[in-house]
Amino acid sequence: MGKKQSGPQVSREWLEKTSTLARLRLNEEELQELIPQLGQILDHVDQLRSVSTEGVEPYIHPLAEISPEAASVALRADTLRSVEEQIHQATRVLGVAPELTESSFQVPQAVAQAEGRSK
Amino acid sequence: MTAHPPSSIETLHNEYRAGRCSVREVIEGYFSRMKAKRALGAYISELEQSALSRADQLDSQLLASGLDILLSKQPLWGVPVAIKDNLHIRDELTTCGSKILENYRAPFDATSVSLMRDAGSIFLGKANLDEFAMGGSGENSAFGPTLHPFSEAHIPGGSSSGSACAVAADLALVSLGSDTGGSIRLPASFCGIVGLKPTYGRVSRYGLVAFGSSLDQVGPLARNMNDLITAYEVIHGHDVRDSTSAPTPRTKIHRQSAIQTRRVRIGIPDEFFVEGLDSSVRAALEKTIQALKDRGAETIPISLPHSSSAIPVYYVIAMAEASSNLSRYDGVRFGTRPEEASFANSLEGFYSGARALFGKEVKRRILLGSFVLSAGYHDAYYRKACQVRRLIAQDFQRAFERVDIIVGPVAPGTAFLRGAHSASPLKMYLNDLFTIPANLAGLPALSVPVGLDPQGMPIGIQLIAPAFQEETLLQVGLDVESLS
Repeated sequence: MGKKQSGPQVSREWLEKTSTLARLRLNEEELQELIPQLGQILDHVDQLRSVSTEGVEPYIHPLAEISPEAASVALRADTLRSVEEQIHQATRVLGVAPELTESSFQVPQAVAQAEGRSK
Repeated sequence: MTAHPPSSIETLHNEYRAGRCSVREVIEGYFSRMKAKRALGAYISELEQSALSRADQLDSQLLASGLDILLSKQPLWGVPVAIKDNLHIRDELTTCGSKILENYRAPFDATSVSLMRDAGSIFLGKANLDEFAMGGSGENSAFGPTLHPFSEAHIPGGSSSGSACAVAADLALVSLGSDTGGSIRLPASFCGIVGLKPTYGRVSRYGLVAFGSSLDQVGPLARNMNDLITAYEVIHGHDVRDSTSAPTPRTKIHRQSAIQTRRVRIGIPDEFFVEGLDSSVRAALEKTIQALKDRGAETIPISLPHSSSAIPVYYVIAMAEASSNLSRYDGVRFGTRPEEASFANSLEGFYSGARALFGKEVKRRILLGSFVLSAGYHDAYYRKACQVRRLIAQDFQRAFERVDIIVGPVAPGTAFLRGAHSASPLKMYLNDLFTIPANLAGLPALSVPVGLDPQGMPIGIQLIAPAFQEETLLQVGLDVESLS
């Protein structure tokens, strides 16, 4: 861990790779604007390297720190619900889909075409 | 209805009690002001029809039973409210200020929303916000900016820009907002009203669209401390539908001065009175602290040595959590699916086509979040930030061994001009210096107005209390309010 001594070179290549990870497509104008902006932000973040954190346990979530008893009630009661109620809920959830068939979310055929695995 | 909008819940209830106006007349008054002041951009959607029919229902309730019987069960009875547009009201739009949710109708109520409704309040509309609550100025909404209620050249503060503007401009009496790094306290301070970020886990996040899940907290904004306390009492409490909700009992806040009833030790952190703090903000805070001292409070200098790391820690963690939370916007189950996605010929093209609807600030944060969580960088950025987060939380723990409350500024300055920071996101982030630490440590924090700068822009003071000590926090808030 923590082998790198300085942040990444915020280059066009770095940004293109990062935008692929984030599933965001950036146009030329966005690329030009973001390279210096993100570079500036990461430079600022780099000041954390000078803070000594040896042996410090990461603080992941406030609940475990300020309300440890919450973990004991984090699970809902395991109660039976009627089929009607479940169908009703599922219908409401499906109702906000951009496109749906009778009982499922619908998406354009994308995978098979892209990877040539159809048929 | 009298020409003047009510200045508090109590004055509104007195109007109802005396029969000087009906609920319908009050709500009609709010909608006519909302229409006249649409240019402020306080609301994304107005709920006139449902609000008026609810007003009629309440008017018939009032005929059937007296107001005081109704108020004993419903403390917000007949109170007009704005709801930030990242909280769900069932069957109404929840846009989050984003094109990607432009047509999204919530299939359920947020817990805080249903508690507000059960308490008798009337929803006037969904308040504008920086897209997905990301931003400190109110300029980042896909549906246009929110303007400052007293000066159109200035920003109202964000991200709960509409929630603050609506209350300050008499377009709602109380509102709900959310606060991830200062998003309630900052606009409350800039608009001259009060705003509370409760302890993490105090108010259910069920039905709040997630941004930074370890930081987000729902809270109220109001014109005065009494109204704020009433709204807080209504929305807090354990919720089985939010696994991060704290199982602490609901409490009633005793509305009394803290200083006059017991010894109150006020901590003044050196790190909050730094160079770069606007001179009028500093002067207003010093005057307030002196006045609290004159009334019997004890002031103790303290140190929060890791404060300078709060911004980098926050932005690593908030962006990491945002990139993870916002990965759900893939154009499959909800949200808008643009043509571009429908005709993509690859899965990647489908996703990035749908996600092209995000605005600039949201993209910036998703990109940085994806990076700090990526293979090879996770430990150097995310893990490191979480370690420093613990040091920041420990600073507070040590301080609260010696003091009951910590005071400081809400922001380095007052409301700034529109467009002032739009070229530099980093400069905008630096404005969150004083509000972020409370989110990182999960602590309750309050913003209370303490004066105006020479341009007439409101100045707020921030009070921070130990976890779950909202009562002390709100009582000291009453003390600060009583000084003016």
